[in-house]
Amino acid sequence: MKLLANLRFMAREVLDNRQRISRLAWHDFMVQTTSTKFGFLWQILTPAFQIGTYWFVFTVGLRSGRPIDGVPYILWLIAGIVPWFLYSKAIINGSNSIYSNSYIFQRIKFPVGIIPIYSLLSAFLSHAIELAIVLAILLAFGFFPGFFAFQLLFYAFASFAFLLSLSYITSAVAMLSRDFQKLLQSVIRFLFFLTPIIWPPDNIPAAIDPFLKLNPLYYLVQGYRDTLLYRVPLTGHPLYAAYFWVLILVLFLFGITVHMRFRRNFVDML
Amino acid sequence: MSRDIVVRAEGLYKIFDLYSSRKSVLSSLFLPSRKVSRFQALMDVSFRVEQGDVVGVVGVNGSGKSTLMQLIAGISWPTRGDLEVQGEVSLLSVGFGLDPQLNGLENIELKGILLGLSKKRIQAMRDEIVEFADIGEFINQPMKTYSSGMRSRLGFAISICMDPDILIVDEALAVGDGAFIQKCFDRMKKMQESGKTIFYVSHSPSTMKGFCNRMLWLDRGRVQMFDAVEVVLPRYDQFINGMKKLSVEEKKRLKADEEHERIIPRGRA
Repeated sequence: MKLLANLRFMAREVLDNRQRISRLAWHDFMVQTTSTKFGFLWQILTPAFQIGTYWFVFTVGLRSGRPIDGVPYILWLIAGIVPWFLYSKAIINGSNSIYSNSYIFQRIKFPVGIIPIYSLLSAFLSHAIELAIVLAILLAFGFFPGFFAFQLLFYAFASFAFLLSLSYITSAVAMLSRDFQKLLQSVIRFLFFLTPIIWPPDNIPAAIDPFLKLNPLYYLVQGYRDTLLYRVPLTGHPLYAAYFWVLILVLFLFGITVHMRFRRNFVDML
Repeated sequence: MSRDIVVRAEGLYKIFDLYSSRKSVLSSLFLPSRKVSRFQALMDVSFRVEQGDVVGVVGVNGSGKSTLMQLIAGISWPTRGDLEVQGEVSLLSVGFGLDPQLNGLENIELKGILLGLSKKRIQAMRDEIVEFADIGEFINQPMKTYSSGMRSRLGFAISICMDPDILIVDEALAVGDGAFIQKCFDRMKKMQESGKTIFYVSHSPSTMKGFCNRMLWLDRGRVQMFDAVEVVLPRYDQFINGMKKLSVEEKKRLKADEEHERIIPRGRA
């Protein structure tokens, strides 16, 4: 079967290039942080400014921002928006990854399939730093999740699985059409408000909620919050988790198929 | 004694779709490919190269030289036909440089990482590369500040020091000065003696005498001749001189002929 052969090919490629993947992820991360004078500081300041803005709008401007299920709004916001920082960045980087790395496979024989992986891993390095800061803040406010913090590994992995599957599709489409990138930016802006990041899901009519839950980011953001703030175990929403993983599986297989179909044409599309 | 065949090409075709805009790339996914006209960059190319050969590749602009080199380097794939390549290939083309923001040393390291070399090996090659390139303080400057000559010096130094089984030099030395080109020739000579295979693409075939032993002449995407240098070179010179004498009208007619031969109009299989 073609699908099976494709899967075997991709698994081989990743295994054979483990070292290259980790070194290129690190290189990618370092280029992003050292390209500006205060590179490392911006890693922290950019998200801090954004959180500050939303906090101001909601608590000072709109006079809402009441505590949510016993957690101050600002902490509730941080726990949900930090994974969102990863998603918005990784979705854009992922779709851009093959095009922006085209200078490599134009010049040397290169396993194109690892490009979305290391581009994504580089974004996860920033994510790890941000999560460490969130845990420090929670500790300071007396909301430290304790052993539940280990669940973050699971939700980070789930995020990775989703983002990688998506990247294999979007990076191929972005090669076919330069307009796709613009469309994707608008979709992300839309998704930001469609996912319960700045507003609590309780505010939503019960009839609409199931439709919003079709969005896999809903599951992930909810998972991060459950873990960081409410000590809900991984088994907290079994049906929703099942839906999420089936969706990821379908998305992943589709992504691999799209990638394998076009990977030999990428160099001719430039 | 017969030597191993390291490159075997059998009936290679490389056909590109000719799009009028980016939009049509997308629509081509949903339509059969016969909806756009196509360009045959390579047509029925067959040849065999043995280990230790130094092949001079000649042909006028657009004859398919670079396309063929990309296929051999494993960067792009033939549309039809068989291509077998034995061993590690390194392609050096004009405008070398991976990341223009990075300096020379960082580019060396990045290239090493991209090629999957160990840290130790990159470290060991660094000094050798720096010495061979001989561009002084510029090695610590971003590559965007390099002249085309410096770029080609560093690029060549890296390609040589990677020690590939097959080295392809695609016009990359055209911008180097005489002394450096001589240094490169000496070095490639040494490579050849140790059993490496070299493809040398150039517009000035006079340099190939005494350096290459075989010559591949591409014309309009086809192999015109593939033989010993002594056989091909006089014929190619003759061809070029003949081209120079052509009138504008005759050149136009030739161009039209070529397009008729190489472009497959839309709608035709």
